[in-house]
Amino acid sequence: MSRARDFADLAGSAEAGGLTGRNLIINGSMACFQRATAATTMTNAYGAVDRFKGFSNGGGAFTGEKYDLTTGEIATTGQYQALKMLVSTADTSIAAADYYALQYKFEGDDLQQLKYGSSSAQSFTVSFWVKSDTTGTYFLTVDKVANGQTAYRIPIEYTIDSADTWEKKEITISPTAGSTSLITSSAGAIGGGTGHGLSLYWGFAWGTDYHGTNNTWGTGTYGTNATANGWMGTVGNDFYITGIQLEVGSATPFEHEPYSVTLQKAQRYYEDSGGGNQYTFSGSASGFGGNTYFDSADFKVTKRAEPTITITDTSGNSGRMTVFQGATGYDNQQVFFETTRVNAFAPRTGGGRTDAGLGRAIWSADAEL
Amino acid sequence: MEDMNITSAQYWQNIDGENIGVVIVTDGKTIHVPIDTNNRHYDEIMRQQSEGLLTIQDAD
Repeated sequence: MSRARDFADLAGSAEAGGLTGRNLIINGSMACFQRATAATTMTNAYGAVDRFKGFSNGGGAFTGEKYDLTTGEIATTGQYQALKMLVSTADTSIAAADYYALQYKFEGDDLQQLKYGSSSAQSFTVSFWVKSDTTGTYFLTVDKVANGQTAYRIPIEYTIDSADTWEKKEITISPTAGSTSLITSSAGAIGGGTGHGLSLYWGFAWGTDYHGTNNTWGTGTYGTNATANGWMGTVGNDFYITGIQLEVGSATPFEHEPYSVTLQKAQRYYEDSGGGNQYTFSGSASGFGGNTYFDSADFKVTKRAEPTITITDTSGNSGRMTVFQGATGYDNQQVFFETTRVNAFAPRTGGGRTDAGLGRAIWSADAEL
Repeated sequence: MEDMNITSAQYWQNIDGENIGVVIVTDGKTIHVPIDTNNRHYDEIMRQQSEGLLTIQDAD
């Protein structure tokens, strides 16, 4: 087949997406770990890898960390990094209300091309590479959140067939799966804006409260009554995932992009002063009300929403900055913010050190969904 | 929902005396949450306040 034919087929299959911008997942290559690369708890939190968070309810827990693929694994998957998850606290008896999953959240505006809420609603495909020491049935769940409409969910079973072996999964989700019309009805629309429009879950266990029918849209149905894989049952069980792609229509090859592009996309949701590095603020006005006002720190990328700011001084005191009067630094100066915008924040400190010329701190800005 | 064990919460103000955020202590960390209904931490603070689980102190 000619190269021109390849391109034509690719463009056709991606339909509205064309050759680039097909993958609607940010950091599906697991290239960005801004927060941490070592094992970090993911209990209902963004732990290490960008854009993916843990979602759980129950006595168990799991961690996430960066995994570097071997040369052989790269040859198989085409990816050089993965998210490695480990069970850190086992749950051997999944109660009715318990659940454990990896979650990815989309902004509503980013998915309007799916045309949900109309008879023109589109199918889409989620593909990914996965490896685990625990074989059996797992779940991919699509959660079309309410966001002004009605929440509908669909659980889809997939299996990991061979232990400790990378396997490629391609799952296509129809808007009428199970012969339903929930998504094609007006209430099936994805709420627009920069708020939460849809989630994907890679489920390890769903309690009976959330069971529905495999590959069928419903309301409270995240999982099915398929025999549990038991992944949460033993400390140290592992689950690796990378090469995640969501695209309109059927599956096409993974859309690789430079690290710098992925990082820039991820920084719409999270950014920090650089792997624990200190950031220096210039004092811009002093004396008013016993405060020192500092020039703003401009974000590299405009945030999705006004971000939550975490800041520590150079000695690690939380909610504090180090301020300098001449060459002398003073730790533990309480910080507030004159502004927190989607593109910058500007701190101020009190404590009577009103002629501070510089301030130093380590900060992060979090605008995740 | 975000797991947030909030042990204190207080509004903070800008130079004009307007409440523009809530400073909270959660799991021993102090974090500054802007008043923005599109911020998931602010949503969680409002949820806990509406359920009577949290009281936000006035700004100093």
